[in-house]
Amino acid sequence: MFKKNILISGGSSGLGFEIVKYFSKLHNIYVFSRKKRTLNSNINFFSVDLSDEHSSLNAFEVLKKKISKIDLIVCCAGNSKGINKNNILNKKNLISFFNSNLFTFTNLINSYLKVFKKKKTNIIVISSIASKKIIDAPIGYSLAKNNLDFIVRILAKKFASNKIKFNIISPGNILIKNNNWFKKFKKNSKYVKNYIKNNVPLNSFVQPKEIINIIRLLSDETQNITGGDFVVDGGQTL
Amino acid sequence: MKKKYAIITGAAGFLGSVFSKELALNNFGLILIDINKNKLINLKRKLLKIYNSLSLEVFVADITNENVINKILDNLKKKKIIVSVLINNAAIDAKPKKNKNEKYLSKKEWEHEIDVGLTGSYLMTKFFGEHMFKQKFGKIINIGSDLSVISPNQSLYKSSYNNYYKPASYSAIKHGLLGLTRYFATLYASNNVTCNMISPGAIYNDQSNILIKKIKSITPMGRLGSVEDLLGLLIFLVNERSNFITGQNILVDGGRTVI
Repeated sequence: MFKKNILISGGSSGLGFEIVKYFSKLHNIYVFSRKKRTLNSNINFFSVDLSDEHSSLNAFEVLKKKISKIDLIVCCAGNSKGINKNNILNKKNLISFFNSNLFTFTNLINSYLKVFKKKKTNIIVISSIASKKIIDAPIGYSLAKNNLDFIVRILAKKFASNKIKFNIISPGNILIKNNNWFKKFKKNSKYVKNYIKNNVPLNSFVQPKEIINIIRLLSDETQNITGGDFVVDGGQTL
Repeated sequence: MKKKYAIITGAAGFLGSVFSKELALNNFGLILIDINKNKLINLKRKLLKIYNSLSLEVFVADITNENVINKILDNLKKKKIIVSVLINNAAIDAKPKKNKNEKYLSKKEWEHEIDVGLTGSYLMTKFFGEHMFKQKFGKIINIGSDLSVISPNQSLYKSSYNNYYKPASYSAIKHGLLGLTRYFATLYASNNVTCNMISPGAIYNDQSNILIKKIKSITPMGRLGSVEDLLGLLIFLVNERSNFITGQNILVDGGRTVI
């Protein structure tokens, strides 16, 4: 099988790390993340703060010296934890959500376009159903993801002629060891089970493998999809 | 393990025949339904030539007739066939024609198109969706169109096809199919039956050169799709890899509907 160069942002924890684990068995993986976490020799880790333009650009310049093309970019960097839970409309709080969920993406894309000269690639952006439905998520997180969706669609249209594809995957409630839902479940499993039962028609959490399946579909099995939004939520947003 | 069958309406048509081949290639038994007997027999012959051990059931049938659908279901039940996939693909072909330049369909034409494209899908889902619901698994795929989310650009056809209008029925059917997709997604979710829609943009199919050029110019990826562009997604949606996706309309249109 053809070994791809795959860049994964936010690949040191949560869903990003699950994606790194899966694809590192098959491909060359480059991880842009603040915290270092490696598994095997297929993973090349770069310590980057993607919310900072210069840090992002530097990382791409170093990466360009190692590889001439990136086949797939999976943008997982993001965070649903604010800095001030008691004041949800606090400006600093909102900005922190935009920094971690939106500007990490725009900086990454901007740097890629500059350093790799708009070279053909396949970009998959992890968003959330919080961008489309009012759920129990922080306002800043929902706003940032909503803006992220819109930017991705603009970029899909703008760069289609360069053969750069952009697609979104919007997971519902994802369960991964030590993530928010995992902690909530440990704290009050009855509440969480009821929440899922009452809100998710398919009555289950999203598993990371379901997101990985769509990444595989978009990177290996389809050619003519760009600007799409794949909602994986068991029907929660219907 | 018992053989899984996929049922395809409009099976002998342009998309249906390619879907049938792909599903056969992926080890599904096939139940093919079409109203065109000759085309269906031809398809059957071709499929059996390629896949000589293919499990195949063929029905020349009108899916707008409830009794006919019920009889097909009974026939399959008697044979103990497990239908795990339903592909609602049948529709009146909305290919631009040079001799057609009416802005409005007659009531009779409108009803006929709605009958085949929308009511037929509803009835097939009513019988086979319920069958899947009882057996506690199944995948329903509706074949939509980019016109399930956008309005047709009539200027595309005007110059290329002598004032042809894409009929209003086509938009109504495809928007309606999206409604059915979402409706049945939640209705059947508790028993692990999912319902999704694949919406292709323009697909190469003998269009005039002028039309092809125009469609390319308004498609971000700069090309029309091919039927093969749909197959990866089709197989993804009919297998267990997509078990948690339901009620979705997935556009395969080179970015045409990104607006």
